[in-house]
Amino acid sequence: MEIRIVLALCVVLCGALCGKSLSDSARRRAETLGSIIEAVRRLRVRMTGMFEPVQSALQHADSPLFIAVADGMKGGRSAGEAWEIVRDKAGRRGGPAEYLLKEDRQALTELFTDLGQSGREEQDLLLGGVLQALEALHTTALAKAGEANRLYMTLGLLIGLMLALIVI
Amino acid sequence: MDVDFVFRIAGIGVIVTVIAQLLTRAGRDDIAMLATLSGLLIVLLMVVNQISDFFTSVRSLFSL
Amino acid sequence: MILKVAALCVAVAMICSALRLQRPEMATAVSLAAGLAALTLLYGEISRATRWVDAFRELTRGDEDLSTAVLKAAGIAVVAELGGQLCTDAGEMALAGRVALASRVAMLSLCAPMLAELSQLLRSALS
Repeated sequence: MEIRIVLALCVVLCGALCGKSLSDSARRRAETLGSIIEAVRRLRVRMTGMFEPVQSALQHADSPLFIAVADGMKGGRSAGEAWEIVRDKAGRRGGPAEYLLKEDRQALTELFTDLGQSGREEQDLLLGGVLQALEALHTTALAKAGEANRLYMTLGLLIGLMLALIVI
Repeated sequence: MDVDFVFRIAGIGVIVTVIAQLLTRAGRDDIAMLATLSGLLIVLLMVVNQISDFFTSVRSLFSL
Repeated sequence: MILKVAALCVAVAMICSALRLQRPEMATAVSLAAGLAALTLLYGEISRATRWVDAFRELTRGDEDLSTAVLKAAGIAVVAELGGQLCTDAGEMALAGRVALASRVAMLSLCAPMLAELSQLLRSALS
């Protein structure tokens, strides 16, 4: 009898953990957006405060995605062209933009298209606007991650309980 | 058949109801419908065996 | 025995009343399972009752057909009652009516040879 109860508890726990892992993508999206926001802040400081060139600033923004774009700029390409090349690869499994949604990539496209294409003040405005947009996306991503985490964990728990009832 | 079986089915019914409610609240009505149908299928599969045993025993008892 | 069956049915009735609000089909399945469980609990008592047919057989002086017919009729009644009530619980009154009709037809076909024998007996008695 005790073994059955222990087994049932194990099944329920496994269900909850499976549910938690399913909600992983929502959490990773929020984390990725958070790190991109930090990188854009560093980029803003380097470009508008320290007058660093775009490619160098992207290299030092401490973000795998921005470093990939900086590498793509070798050979004289603009940030926008480099982003077009890097975007699909970065969005694949294991890439730095794997968990980003369409609207997140749209915000990044708007950033890279105009990056380094105008004067200091316009670049400051551009980076400020993109930061605002990314922060709004980050807030909704955090809310959705919390919601998804609760939903999938509860669903996993309930399905584990059901399996325990059926099998044990 | 023991009485535990009945409460097992009742437990599954309650869990399926809660799952369907959760999914409906999360806006996934189609998955909620699938969950309800799956739960019903599982319960019916469990009950069908018992029905078959019951009718076999009635048949033998009453020589039908 | 009766306490067990009553307790089981009351407990399941309360569960079903809660389930019926959200998932009526689940409530039907649960009440079906409970009905079967209750009848299984009663199995011992029912099988004891069917042994009374042996006493009835003694009275009919070895008329096997008669005692078998009585037993079969009882079985048909039990099955029809269960099926009909389950259909009614599920809200399918028409289906419950079909089950009742089927049980009447089955009992009639069971009694037909006896009715034929009876009418022949009456005819021979009257002629």
